[in-house]
Amino acid sequence: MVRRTNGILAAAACMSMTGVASAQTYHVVDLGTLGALGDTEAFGLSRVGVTPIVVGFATKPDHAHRAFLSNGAIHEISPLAPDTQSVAYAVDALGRVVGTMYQLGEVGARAFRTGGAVLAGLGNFTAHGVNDIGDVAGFMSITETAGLAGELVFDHACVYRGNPATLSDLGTIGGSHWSRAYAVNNAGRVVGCSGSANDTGSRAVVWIGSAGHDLGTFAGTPSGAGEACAYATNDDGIAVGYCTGASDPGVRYAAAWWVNGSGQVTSVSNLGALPVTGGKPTWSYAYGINDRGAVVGQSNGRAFLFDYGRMKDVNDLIPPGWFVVSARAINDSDRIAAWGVNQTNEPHPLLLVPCFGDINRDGLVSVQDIFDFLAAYFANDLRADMDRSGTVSVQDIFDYLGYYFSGPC
Amino acid sequence: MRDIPQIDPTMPHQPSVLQEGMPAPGRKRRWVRRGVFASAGCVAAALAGILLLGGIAPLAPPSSYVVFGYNELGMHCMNEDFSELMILPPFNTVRAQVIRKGVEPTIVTSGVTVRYTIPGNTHSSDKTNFWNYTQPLFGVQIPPDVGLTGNKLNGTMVNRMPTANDWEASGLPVTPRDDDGRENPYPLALISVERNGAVVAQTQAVVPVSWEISCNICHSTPGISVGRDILRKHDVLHATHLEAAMPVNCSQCHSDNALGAPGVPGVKSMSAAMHGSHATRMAQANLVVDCYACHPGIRTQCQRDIHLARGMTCSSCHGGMAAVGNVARRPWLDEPSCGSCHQSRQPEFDFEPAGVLFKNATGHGGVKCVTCHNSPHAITPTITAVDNLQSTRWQGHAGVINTCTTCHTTPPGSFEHKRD
Repeated sequence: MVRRTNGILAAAACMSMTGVASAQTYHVVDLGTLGALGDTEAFGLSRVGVTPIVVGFATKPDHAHRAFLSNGAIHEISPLAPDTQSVAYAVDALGRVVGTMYQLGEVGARAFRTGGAVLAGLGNFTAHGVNDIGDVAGFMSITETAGLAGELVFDHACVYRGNPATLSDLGTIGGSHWSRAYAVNNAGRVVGCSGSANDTGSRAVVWIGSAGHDLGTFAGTPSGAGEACAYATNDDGIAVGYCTGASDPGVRYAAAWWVNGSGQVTSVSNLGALPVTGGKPTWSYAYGINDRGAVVGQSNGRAFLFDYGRMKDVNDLIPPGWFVVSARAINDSDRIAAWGVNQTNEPHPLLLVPCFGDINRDGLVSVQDIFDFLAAYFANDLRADMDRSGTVSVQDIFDYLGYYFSGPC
Repeated sequence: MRDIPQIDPTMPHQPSVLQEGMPAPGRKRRWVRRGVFASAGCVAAALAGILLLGGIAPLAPPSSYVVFGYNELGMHCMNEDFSELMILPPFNTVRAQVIRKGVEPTIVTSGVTVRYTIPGNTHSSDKTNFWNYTQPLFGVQIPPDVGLTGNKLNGTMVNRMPTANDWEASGLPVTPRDDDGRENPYPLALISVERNGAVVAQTQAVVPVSWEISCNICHSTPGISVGRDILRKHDVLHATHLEAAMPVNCSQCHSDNALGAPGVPGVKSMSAAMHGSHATRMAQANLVVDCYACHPGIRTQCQRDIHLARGMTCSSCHGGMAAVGNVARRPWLDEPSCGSCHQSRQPEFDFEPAGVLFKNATGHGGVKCVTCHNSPHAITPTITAVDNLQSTRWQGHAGVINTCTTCHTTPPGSFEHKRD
């Protein structure tokens, strides 16, 4: 062990004299279009895989919005019924895609899940998130007939569980009329938001079982003033989304909540925002988080990656040619589903693939990365798990050296 | 379970046009004088209302108030991207009329609070880059998620007295993207009326918005963006330097009544310039409805009302593009009137007075036309289910509010489609 360690240190000393600097940490994979210029977005991707499945929606030549799947090439996911719009939101561990079909102007929507070449309906709800065991989080339309509401239509957060197939209404909190669920982790914990007490705003919520818990805002928990919503959660129970602060109640900032098994928030962090110039407004939303705790979202009209304690503009981490507007999801291989515009302002869904040599994601493949890798390695930190085996081993050293010496992205 | 207010039997009898908190001399007898004229339609509607109240379909529980919400235009168009040029910003105006039920209902313009919210569409700053460009476009930096009139996506309406007897929230910066990222050009606003801290009436109304615009059908020069293509062609044709001045607010030169922009003297209005210059060029777009090259339609369907269901298109009411682009026409002010078609079919009815738009007209004791018929371009029954929710909620079926007991606690003897 000592000899190997000395060998590693010797290698580090050698590499320190041959450092490689690069301006980018990610390279951009253009997922293409479904044949037409128009709205598009990549919402989710599979948790692992060298070429992960990426899903979202794109515009067809007939102007319809249709769900797509990209596994190296983009394909339309055909809806169950013709002349419908559709969007794919997430991919589970079996590679099954969940999404929603709808028609503009209708009340409600219909969830679908793919199984191989077969697309099956899951029920009359919007499917938005899925975990590895096939639980689907989303929201359904309900008609309130009690009290003065009488025949008003609202969304209620719901969760679909598959064995046996059940669709459960998770209800709302605080007496509000509406709620939505956006994600579910492998412990079955669901996150989303609900209307505030008089439905004038929204509150971030975690549902544990059937009980909804207000995550609060930067102004305090659970009843801190302001608005919030949670869009994603990882298996450590960290939820991310946005909330407003006490000092600036009208502005939303990306937030991360640490939530214990009882639904109590033990900590909430304001992830900040990207810098702006010229007095422009500042804001941010967090949309995705992986199990390592890396967070992606949008700030001031640009995609961000929050990693190693810092929020970075994704556009500073990629080569020229694209402007990445928003990042929706990041998987455990640090791949990012996003959308951006090219140099002629055409929107495309994008997959951002990391350069693993830049382990600290500072935009440079440099000597500092070597030392950061070594620090993670000796701390048995999974950031050093280069081969994504789930453990830190000697193999990771060799894999990292391979990434490092492969040069800039 | 909220307490449901009961009608105060000690309250004095009030004429239908009397607005709470405001005297209306000279009108007390008008309703009684007209009561002798019976409308078969209203009698049938009243009977239908009684049947419905008898339990065929559930209606809202008893309350002293009803509220109707509507969008001012029926569809609001906006840019999706503001980095190159702007035709229209996010600016959606929602109005509501509050009516206190009674033997003779009253229109409420004070003593209540009218709130609005749009569940599921609670923020806009991450859906459009509008707020990145308000300074160059309008000369002022606007906070994120705040509209041009200072309103947000939830808040309180203001009553428009003495201009009108309804409530309004103007300039809501709503976009056609739900919070879950999916397109939704018909988000539903929840409108709540509160009195003494208690909710006394609620309704849901569509706040329509779309950024479906298909300039790329023709403006698609390889290698440059659609916006840049438009500005470059404008520079070539009109000796301007717009491409170098992006983002461009078109209304800085072309007057636009929608934005209150005076433009530059001698330069055509935005409407005249756009419609006039494109009227002779639409053949190359090869569209069934030429208007949908620019106005939301191929997918979104700006026009989604009973007229569409009966086979009418935009030009049936508005005329062709050349007519709309006529320099003598006042854009946004000279608009089709219902009476121009319907008067001959229903000679006993009154329609809008001359010079008053449908969206602003009233009748039947001060009730706004849009209260019963819904917004322009979404005259009920619509082909979109969400636009029919309000009428179904109040009277059990889609379509014009023709169930008199929606507002009248006892069916009146007659109904007159008359101006006040």
